[in-house]
Amino acid sequence: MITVENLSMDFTGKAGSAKALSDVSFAISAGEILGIVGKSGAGKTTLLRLLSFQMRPNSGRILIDGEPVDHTTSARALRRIVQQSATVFQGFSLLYNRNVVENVALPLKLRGMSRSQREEKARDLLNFVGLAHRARAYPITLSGGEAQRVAIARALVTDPKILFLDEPTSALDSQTSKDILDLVKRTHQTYGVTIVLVSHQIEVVRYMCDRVLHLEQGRIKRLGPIQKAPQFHVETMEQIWGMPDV
Amino acid sequence: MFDWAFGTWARFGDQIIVGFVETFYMVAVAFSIALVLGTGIGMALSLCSRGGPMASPLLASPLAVVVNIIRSVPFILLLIIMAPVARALIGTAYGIYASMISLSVVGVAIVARLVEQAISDINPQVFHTARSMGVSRFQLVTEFILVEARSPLILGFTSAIISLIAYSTVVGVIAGGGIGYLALQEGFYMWNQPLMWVIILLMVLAVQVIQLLGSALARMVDKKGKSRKS
Repeated sequence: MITVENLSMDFTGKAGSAKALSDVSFAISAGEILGIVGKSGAGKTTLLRLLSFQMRPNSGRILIDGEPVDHTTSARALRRIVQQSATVFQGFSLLYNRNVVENVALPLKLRGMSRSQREEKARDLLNFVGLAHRARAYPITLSGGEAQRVAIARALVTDPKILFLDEPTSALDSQTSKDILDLVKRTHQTYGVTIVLVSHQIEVVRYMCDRVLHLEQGRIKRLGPIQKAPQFHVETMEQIWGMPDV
Repeated sequence: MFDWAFGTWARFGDQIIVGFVETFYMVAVAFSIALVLGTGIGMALSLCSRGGPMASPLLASPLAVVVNIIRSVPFILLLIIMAPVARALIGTAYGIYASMISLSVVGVAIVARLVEQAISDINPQVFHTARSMGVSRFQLVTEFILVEARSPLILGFTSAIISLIAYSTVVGVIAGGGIGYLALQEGFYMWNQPLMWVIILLMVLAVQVIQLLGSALARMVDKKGKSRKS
C-alpha cells in the first residue's frame, strides 16, 4: 500500500544542519497496524509527517499503491492524496472556536458536502466514539480523553484509507489511554483502516501493533512483527498505595 | 454647573455635529480600505514569514519594511508628504477626501501589524491540522485562521478604529475637516476652552462606546475561554 524508498530528511537552522532521517526504506501493507517507536529525537514524528505528506523529503520517495509521490506531484494531486489519510495528534488539535460536531464535520465541509449531510455523518461518528451527547459542547469543556475521541471521530469522518496516530495517548492517564486504544482497535476492526502509530510508550505498541519499526538516530534499527500483549496494563492509585482511597 | 457646556452646545452644536459626521465618515472610509488591504498584508506578513505555513521571505521581508516605514513616519509629516499624492489623485490636498488618503495609508499599516500579531498567536498545531486535512490556501485562511483568530482580530480592528479617530483629529491642521478642524480653529486659535472640553468629552464617550462594542463582540465569538456545557 505504502512503499518508502531511501527517505532522508535534514533540518537546517541557525545552529547548522541536523539529520532527522537517513536512508529509510520499508513498506506498509493494507489493513495492518504498524508501530513506529524510538527515543525522543529518533525521527518518529518526522517520519510520520513525511508519510502523511505534511512535509516533503530532501531525498527518497514514497509510493502510494505503486504510484510515486515526489517533487513533481502537483499541489492539487498532493491534496487529493493527503485527503485519503487522516492524522490524530498528541495534542488533540481541535479547533476551539468550533463545537464538537462542527470539528468532526470540518473535513467534509472542506470537501463541499452540504451542512445536513456532513452533520449527519459527524453525528454517526460521534455515536461510534460514544460522544453523541457532547455534540454541541465546545472543546474547552472536554476532558483529554473526550477531546481525543473527538479527534478520532474527525479523522474517521472522511473514510480514510490510512490513519496516522502521533503519540495519541501520551497526554492521557493510563485508564483513558486504554479506552482510547480500545477505540482505535474497534476502529480498525470496523473500518479496516491501515494504522500507523507513533509512540514512545512500549506498552502501547505491544498492545496495538502487528509490526514495529524501531528508529534510532534517524535510521531503522529493527523492523518486524512483535509478540502482542493481550492486556494493556492499567494500575490504579489503589493498587499503588495498597489501600482504598480515603 | 454645566451651563458652560449647554451654552457651548447652543452656539456650536450644529458645527460639532457636522464635525463628528465628517470624522466618522473619514474614519469609516479609511478603515474599510485598511480592513481589506491591511488584513491581506497582515496575513502575508505572518503566513509568508520565515518558518510560516506559506514561507516566502522574499515577499514578507519587503512588505515588513514598507509597513515599518509608514508606521515610523509621524502622522503630521505623513500628511505633508502625502499632499502631492492627494493632489495628483483627487485634484486637491485639502478637505476630508484628501485626508482619507493619508488616513487609509496609516490605517493599512496599523491593521497589517495587528492582523500579523493575531495570527502569530494561533496555536501552530492548527496549521499542522489544516495541512493534514489537505486544505487549499483559501480554506486555510477562511476555515482555520479567520475562525481561530476572530476574537483577537476583532479587538485589533477596534483598536485600529480608535487610532484612526485619534489620527483624524490631526488632519484639522491641513484643513482636513472633521472635529479636529473645529477644535483647532475654534478651540485653539480662538482659545475657546469650553468648546474644547465639550469636544473632548464627546470623543471620550465615542471611544468608550466603540471599545465596549468591540470587546463585547470579541467576547461573544470567543469560545476558547467559555465553560459551556452541551
